[in-house]
Amino acid sequence: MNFMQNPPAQHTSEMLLGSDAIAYGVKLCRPEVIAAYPITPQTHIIETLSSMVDSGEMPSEYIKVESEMSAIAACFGSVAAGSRSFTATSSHGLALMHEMLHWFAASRFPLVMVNANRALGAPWNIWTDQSDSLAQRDTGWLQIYCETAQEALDTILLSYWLTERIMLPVMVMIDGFILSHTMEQLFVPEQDLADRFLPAYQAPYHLDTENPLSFGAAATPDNFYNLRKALAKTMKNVPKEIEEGAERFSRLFHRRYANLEGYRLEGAEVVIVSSGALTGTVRIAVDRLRDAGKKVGLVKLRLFRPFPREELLEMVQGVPDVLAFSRAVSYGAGGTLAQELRASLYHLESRPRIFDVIISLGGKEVFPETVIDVVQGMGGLSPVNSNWF
Amino acid sequence: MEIINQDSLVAPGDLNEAPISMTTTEGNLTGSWKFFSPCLQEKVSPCRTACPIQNNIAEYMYFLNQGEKDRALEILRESNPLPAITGRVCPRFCQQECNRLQLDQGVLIGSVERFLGDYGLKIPYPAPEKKRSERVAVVGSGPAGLAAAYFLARAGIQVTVYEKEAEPGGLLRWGIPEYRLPKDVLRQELDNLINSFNIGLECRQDMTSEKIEALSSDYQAVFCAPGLGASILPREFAGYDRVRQGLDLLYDLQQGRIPEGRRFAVIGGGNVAVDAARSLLRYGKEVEIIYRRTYAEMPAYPDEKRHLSEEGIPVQEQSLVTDITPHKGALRLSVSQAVKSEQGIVPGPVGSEQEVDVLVLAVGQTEHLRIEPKERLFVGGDLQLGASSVVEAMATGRQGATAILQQLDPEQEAPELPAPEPAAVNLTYVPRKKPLLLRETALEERVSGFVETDPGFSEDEAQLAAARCLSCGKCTACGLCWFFCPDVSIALETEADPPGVTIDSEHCKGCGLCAFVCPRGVIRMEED
Amino acid sequence: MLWNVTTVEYLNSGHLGCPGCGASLSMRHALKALGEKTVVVIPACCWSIIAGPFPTTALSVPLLHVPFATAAACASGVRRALITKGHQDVQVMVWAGDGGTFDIGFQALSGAADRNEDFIYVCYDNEAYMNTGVQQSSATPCGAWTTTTPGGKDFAYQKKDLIGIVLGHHPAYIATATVSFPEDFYLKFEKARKAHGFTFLHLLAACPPGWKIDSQDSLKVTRLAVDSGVFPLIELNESGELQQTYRPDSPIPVKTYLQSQKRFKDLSDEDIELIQAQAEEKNKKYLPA
Repeated sequence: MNFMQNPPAQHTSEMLLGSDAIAYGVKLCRPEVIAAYPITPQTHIIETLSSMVDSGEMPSEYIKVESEMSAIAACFGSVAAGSRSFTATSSHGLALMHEMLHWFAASRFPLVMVNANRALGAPWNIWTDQSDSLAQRDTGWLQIYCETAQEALDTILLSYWLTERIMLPVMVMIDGFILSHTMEQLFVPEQDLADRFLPAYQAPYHLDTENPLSFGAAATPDNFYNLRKALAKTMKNVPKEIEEGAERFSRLFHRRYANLEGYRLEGAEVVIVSSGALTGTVRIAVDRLRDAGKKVGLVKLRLFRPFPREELLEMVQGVPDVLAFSRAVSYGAGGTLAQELRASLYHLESRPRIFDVIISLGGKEVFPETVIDVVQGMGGLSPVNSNWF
Repeated sequence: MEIINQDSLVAPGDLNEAPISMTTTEGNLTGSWKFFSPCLQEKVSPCRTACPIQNNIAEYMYFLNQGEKDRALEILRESNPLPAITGRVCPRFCQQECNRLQLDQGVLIGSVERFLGDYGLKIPYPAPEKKRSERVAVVGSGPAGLAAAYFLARAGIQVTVYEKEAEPGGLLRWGIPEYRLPKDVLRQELDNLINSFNIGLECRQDMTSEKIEALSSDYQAVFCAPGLGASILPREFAGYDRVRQGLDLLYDLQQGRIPEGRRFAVIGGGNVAVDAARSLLRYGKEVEIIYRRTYAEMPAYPDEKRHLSEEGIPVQEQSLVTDITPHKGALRLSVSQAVKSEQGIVPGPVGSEQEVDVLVLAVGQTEHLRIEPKERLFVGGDLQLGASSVVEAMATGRQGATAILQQLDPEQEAPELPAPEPAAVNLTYVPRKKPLLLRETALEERVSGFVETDPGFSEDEAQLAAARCLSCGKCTACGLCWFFCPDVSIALETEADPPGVTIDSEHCKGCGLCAFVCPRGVIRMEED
Repeated sequence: MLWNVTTVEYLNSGHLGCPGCGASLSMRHALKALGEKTVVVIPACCWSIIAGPFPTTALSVPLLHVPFATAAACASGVRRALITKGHQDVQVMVWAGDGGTFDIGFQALSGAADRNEDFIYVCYDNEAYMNTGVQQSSATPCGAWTTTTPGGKDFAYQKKDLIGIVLGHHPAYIATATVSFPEDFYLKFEKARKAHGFTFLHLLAACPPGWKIDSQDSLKVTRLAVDSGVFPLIELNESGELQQTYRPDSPIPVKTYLQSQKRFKDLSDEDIELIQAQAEEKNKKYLPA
């Protein structure tokens, strides 16, 4: 992402809390229905949205549900009835939604949900890691991880465009506290600009008494298989569609987001793959390592589902070693990100070694020095087993 | 403003993409699940089963309720040639079996029949489909003879009726008081019947056994229903001027011969006794009934007994007249309490005496003609049954006619009524209705003349009464089966004639709820 | 037409309800009562199957199948979406079994009732998890056989007083009904249709296989339930009290009701006396003022 000093046309520059940035992004998308249940660290998002609805500046129906399961279910109903909808959650809330996540995607209903990444208990822990969202990777949702509040705001807009185009729901991740509870200088687009990018949602199918359809009726195994096959096919097309969306977005907003972002990859012998706000820390570490003569690069993984395998291949082609910075673990198998990378690159004849680095869980602090230590101590890393710090 | 259009990649209703259903389940032929199938089978209503002439009450009530008066009359006349008469004097066996009695009030069938009969008084009976050359004689123009004549004439037979009296009707004319059956109604109905079919009528023909024998050689067949003759007169009462037989008295009253005397006692508990007592009252006589059993046991029709009480005629129950002695131009009666014993009812020790001017005996009749049925000679009416109701007599007339027709044309199959299989009705979903009130002529008006006790139904009342009829055994497309079908497999055909339902056997799962709810017992579950 | 019921059908033949299914018949009439402008939300229950396999549907109104625990929440979303589109005239009806209402869907139900969401929640109560093969739910009456109460007796509880619990949420309207009393049934759906806010209808729906009755007895048995006081027909009246809408002329003993179904065959005379007492106690509560 290229940072600009001055706001582009039809933007205002504001100092905003990450959660508020998301709320502004949501408001720009004019959701007709919002359903949410409070959970730390998502609370600021829905509080701000509540205020916006309460003051009348956002004419949405706001359903203050009694659980996250009902939050996503209420959105299921409102989207089925043809309304653009929004919800946000975190951690245990996302876990509670699990069943409904399958239903949403497989029903081919569009939704944008923000998940403020947070660890799951026990013990209780409110700090960030990605074990909540990565555990939902098989539900048919798109997953996008944001590095900054600006990216999060913009991603909300992009995600609505995308979800209504491909009729699959999108989960937008921010790091709890690190993004949600910190302030940034942001460029907030004007409503008119947002409207030009994202027209009102015209559901291709919905609960309509004039044209009565039934959604989700029990299917035979053969029919079920074909429906899932179609879902998988759509997923395969998503990177192309994101490209299309990014192109349209950049024409109006003068900034562009890629599914994967490479940083200082030229001649890199070691590439760190990271996602979310951790990437900012890694970026500083890479700069320092490069200053010290170490040929280290960074790949920021923005899109996790569908996994952007083709783009990844281009970036790590010929790189001997890749460090996968995981913030979620499949216990007994290893870091989630390492697994994904290995699976994606396995077919290559000449493939990099993938080092599984469990860099942080439950908000364990990562400083640039931590990253530098990892890279400098690479000789002691196992290319097979998980490497815990 | 530039709108960057976004077209969803998933087409509406693209079944390969989204789990959306838009076609009906009707393609699932769930009818293959069933082990039992509902079958529509009309049954005979209990009222029809109870009716000696098997009037198709369920059917004519249905059409009357639909406002089709003529069709109702036509159906009624198929079994009943004299509905204006039976509508008045029939004991209404039908009403006692009415299923609706279990719900609120039985259907007042007799009153509706009377309404239809009165409506038909001026409507000729439909002409027979074909004329036949055979001639049949009918002896007696009472209900049995007239019924036989009707059923024969309707089949195209030329019928001649021989009647002892100057006018036709038999017991209908001289045995039933005017307040029960006005002469005018009788005349109109009989005229209509006789004229419609051009029935020959020979009055003042006092038939003997020999004459009847002779008729049977002149005609292809003879139906003989001359009725019973004289009242039974026990020996101990014989030989007194002031002792009269009930039917003779009724006959005299009809002829305008009013007996002298002020105080009358009538012995008996049947209709003749009640008719005699109530008629005498209307001539200003003091009258009482002496009956050997209790009031409750009196065999007269319940309505007649009720009217008797209303009109204030005392009944000395459980009393026997053991002796009569003439006393100063009157009769002194010795009355004992009746005691039940092994020998039957016998006089008890306690006695009292009372004086009457005239004693009327109404204790039964004997036959005056003895006729043995044989080839071409058929017997019916009271002669066959003993003293019986008008409608029972009519039934023998119909049976006689049927037998004659079969003899004339053995190839022809006798018309068969459906077997009397009682319809198992379910009244759960039949809405209760307010009972209908039967109007009656005011008491003062009643006892001061011979105006009809029962003024009959207006058309509106008849409609209301017909609307109460469930038409047991007949599908009226009432809709209950349709309503309660969980499988949307019953279609109502309310406009069809006859109305009915069709069952979609491709989807019906055979649950049997239609058979359960049917208030007319028309649907039966049969094993596939 | 009979009871002024429309001849238009919103339930298609060929649906997959069992013969004599009370839930199917109830749906047929519920939709007749509510009309074509109705959206139906169905969580996991017998009706997930009855509604027919993809790509068919047994209803000619829109239908949303939803996960077991979510019906009331999904319906909330549907209603709010319709509000944003100005479709206040469209009815939203949840159609849930007893499991999806008394048990797993209870939280969402409570939430929606508490928010006074404007839709009709119908629980068709067949008193066990019938779709999965007759397992006990918290709507199973004491003494009934199920595959998880094989002895048939569990007197540690009385059937959950769901009406009382929902009443505690101050709904706009609440009533019990059963399709074997059609006039009452239609009257209550009509009131529910006209009510603004959360309305709850508790329907007793006979399940011939689960109750071990003959299919043609499914109406008779629910009538017995009402006439014996086991399932009183009640509604929330204008003074905010639950009141009987129908009183049997002469109540029949619960024994007659219990003996009409083989699921109750193991009850002893003492058990029946206990159930009789429970029914009487319950009915006392709903006596008309």
